[in-house]
Amino acid sequence: MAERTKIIIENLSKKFGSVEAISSLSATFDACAFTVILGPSGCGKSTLLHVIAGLETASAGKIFFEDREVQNLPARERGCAMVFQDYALYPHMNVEDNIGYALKLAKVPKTERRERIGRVAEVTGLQSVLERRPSQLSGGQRQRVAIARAIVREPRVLLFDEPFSNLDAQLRHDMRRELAELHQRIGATSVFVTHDQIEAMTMADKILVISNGRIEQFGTPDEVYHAPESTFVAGFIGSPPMNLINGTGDGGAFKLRDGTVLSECGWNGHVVLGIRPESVRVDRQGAVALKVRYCEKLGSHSIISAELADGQPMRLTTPLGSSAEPSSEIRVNFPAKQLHWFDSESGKVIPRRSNGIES
Amino acid sequence: MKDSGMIENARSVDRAATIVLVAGMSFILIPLAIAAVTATQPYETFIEAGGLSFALGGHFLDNMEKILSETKLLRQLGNSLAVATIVAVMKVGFCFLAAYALVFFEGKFRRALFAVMIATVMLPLDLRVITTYQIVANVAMPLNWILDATGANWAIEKVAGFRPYFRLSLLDTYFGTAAPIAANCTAVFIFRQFFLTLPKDLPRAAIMDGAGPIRFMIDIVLPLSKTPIVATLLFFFVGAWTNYLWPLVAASTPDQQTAVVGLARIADSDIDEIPQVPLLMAGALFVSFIPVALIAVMQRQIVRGLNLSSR
Ligand SMILES: Nc1ncnc2c1ncn2[C@@H]1O[C@H](COP(=O)(O)OP(=O)(O)OP(=O)(O)O)[C@@H](O)[C@H]1O
Ligand SMILES: [Mg+2]
Repeated sequence: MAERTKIIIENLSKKFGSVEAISSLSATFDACAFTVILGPSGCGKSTLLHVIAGLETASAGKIFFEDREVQNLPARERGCAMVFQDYALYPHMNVEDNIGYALKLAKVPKTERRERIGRVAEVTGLQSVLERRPSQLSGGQRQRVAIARAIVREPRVLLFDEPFSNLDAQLRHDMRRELAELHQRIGATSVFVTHDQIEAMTMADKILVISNGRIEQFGTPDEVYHAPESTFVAGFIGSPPMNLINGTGDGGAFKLRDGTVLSECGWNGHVVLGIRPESVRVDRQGAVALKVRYCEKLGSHSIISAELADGQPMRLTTPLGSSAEPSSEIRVNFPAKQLHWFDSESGKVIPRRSNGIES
Repeated sequence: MKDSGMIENARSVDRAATIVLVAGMSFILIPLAIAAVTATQPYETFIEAGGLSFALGGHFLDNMEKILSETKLLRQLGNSLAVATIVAVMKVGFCFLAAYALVFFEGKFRRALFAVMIATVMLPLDLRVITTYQIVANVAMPLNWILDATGANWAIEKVAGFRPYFRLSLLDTYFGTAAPIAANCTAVFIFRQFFLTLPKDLPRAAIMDGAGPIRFMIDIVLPLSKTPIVATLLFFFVGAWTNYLWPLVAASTPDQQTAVVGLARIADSDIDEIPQVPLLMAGALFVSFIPVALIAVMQRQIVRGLNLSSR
C-alpha cells in the first residue's frame, strides 16, 4: 500500500504568456482521499493536474506532498502516476510492455517486473490480453491498461485527466464502479479531473469546483449539491441544474420585475433566488403561476420547461406520470426551506443565518 | 434510368482515365524501352541504322562484358553505393533529430529555426556549387577566416614569426562527396508532420513513466517512426544516386567518381567519333539496376511512409 500523502497547494498560479490558466489557488487534498476537480471546458483542470504532476512548472505558489515541497522537483521524483483522456498508450508495445515500461526504466529486475505486472493485470482484469497491442483492444480495455500502467508503480499520488470521457455511457458507469473499488484497495491519494458532474458526485470524497482558474467551492458532494456557495456552482451541478431567478427583495417579499410575488424574502434590493427543479411543488392552489413551454418525459420523471410571469425560464421535475401540455398554465409552490439566496452582484451565497424568514 | 446514366458516366470516366494513364506511361516508358533495346545492339548496327532503332540485337551480354572490362563502372557503382548510403543516413538522421527538437521541446527560437530551415530548402546545392567546392577543398577555411578576421593570426605572426594556415581537403573522399548533398532539411518537414500526428499526451505519459528525452526518443518515437524513416531513407538514397553536378565536381579521379558521373564519361568520346551509344545504354541499365530494384521491392513502404500518419 502506498505511503499516505496529503497534497497541499498554496497560492498556485500558472500563466501561459498573458493567459492565466490558474490564479492563486489554495487547497488541501486529504491523504488517501478521492478528490474530484470539476469544472467546464477550459477552466484550467488539466493545467492544475499537470502542475501537480510536474509536467508543467508553476508560475508562482507552492505544492507540498505531505511536508515535502515538490513544485521544483522534476516529474519523475514526485512519485505521481497519471491516466490520460486519450489513453496515451505506446502503440508499438503490447499490453505487458506498456504496463511494465515504468518498471523497466526504474531497473526493476525482470522476475519482479513480471510478478507485479501479473498482479495489476489481475486487479484490472487484463490477464488474457497481455500479449495484445493497444490497437487490438476495446476502449474499456485500453483505459484499463492505462490505469494498470499508472498503478503498477504503486504511486503515492494518482492523477486522472478525464479518463472516461471517450467511453460510452454503460462502460463509463462500470468503470466508475471499478475505479472506486480499486481506489478502496490501493488507497493512493487520487485526484480525478472531469467535467461530468455525475462522475464527480458518485466517486468523490470531496469535489473542487473551479471556473476560470479559481475555486468556486471545495466540499463533499452533499455540500456542493445542497449548499452551493455561488450561482456558478448552483447552475453547474444537477441535471437539470438549479433554477436561478433574478428579482428584488421588497418589504419581506421576493418580487419579479413585473411585481409578481414568488416567495417571502429576508432582505431588500436585487437578489438571486435559487431553487432545484425537484424542489418545486406542483400544487393546484400554488402561489406561483407558470406557463408551460414543453415537457420532456424521461420515464422515471418528467422535466417541464416553463416561464415565469416576467418571462424568465425555469425548469421543474415532476414524478412519474404527471405531465403538462405546452402553453397550459400550472401553479406551483416554492417551499421556503428549499430556497437558496445569492448576491446578484458577486453571485456568492447569502448565508442562511442572516435570512430573517428562516430563523 | 438515372442509375444506368450514372454507370454510363462512371464508364466514360474510367475510359478517359485509362487513356490518360496509357499516354503518360508511354511517354515515360518508350524512352526506357529504346534504351533497353539499344543496349542489346552491337555498335555496328547502331552505326548502320544511323541512330536509334527498334532492332533487337543479340549483344546485350557482350555490351555488359565490355562495361565490366573496359569501364570503371563496377568500382564506381561501389562508390555510388557508399555515397548514397552516407547521404541517406545523414539526411534522415539529422532531420529526424531536428524535427524531434522542433516538435517536442519548447523554446523561444523554435519558429525562427524552422523559418531558417525552410529558407535553406530554397537554396539548392547546384546554386552554391562554387562556394561548396571551396569549403570542401579546405574545410579549415572558415577557421582560417576567423583567425584572420579576429586578428589572432596577426598576433601569432608577431609572437611566433609565422602565419598559421590550416588545410584539410575532403575532395575525392566519400564523405566530401556525400556531406554537401546531405546538408538539406526537406525531411524535417516530413518528420515534423509525422510527429504532430502523435497523441499529445504520449510524451507526457512517457515522462510520468520516468523516461527522459533521450529514452522517449529511442523507446517510443523511433519505433513509431519506422515507416517514414524507411521511406525517406530510400527516397534520399535514390536521389543521391542520381545526383550529377556535385559528385562531378567533388571527385576528380575516375576511381572516386560515382557511377552516374562515370556513365556520362562513356559518352565523352572524341568529337569525330560517333559515341558508343549501345554501350552507354547498357551502362545506364547497369547503373540504374540497384535503385530500380530497391524501389520495386519497397514501393509499399515508400507510399505508406509518405502518407504521414502514425496509424
Ligand atoms: N500550453 C498552453 N499554452 C497556452 N495556453 C494554454 C496551454 N495549455 C492550456 N492553455 C490555456 O489554459 C486554459 C486552461 O486549459 P486546460 O487545458 O487546463 O483546461 P481544461 O479545464 O482541462 O479544459 P478541458 O475540459 O477542455 O480539457 C485554457 O484557456 C487554455 O487555452
Ligand atoms: Mg483538460
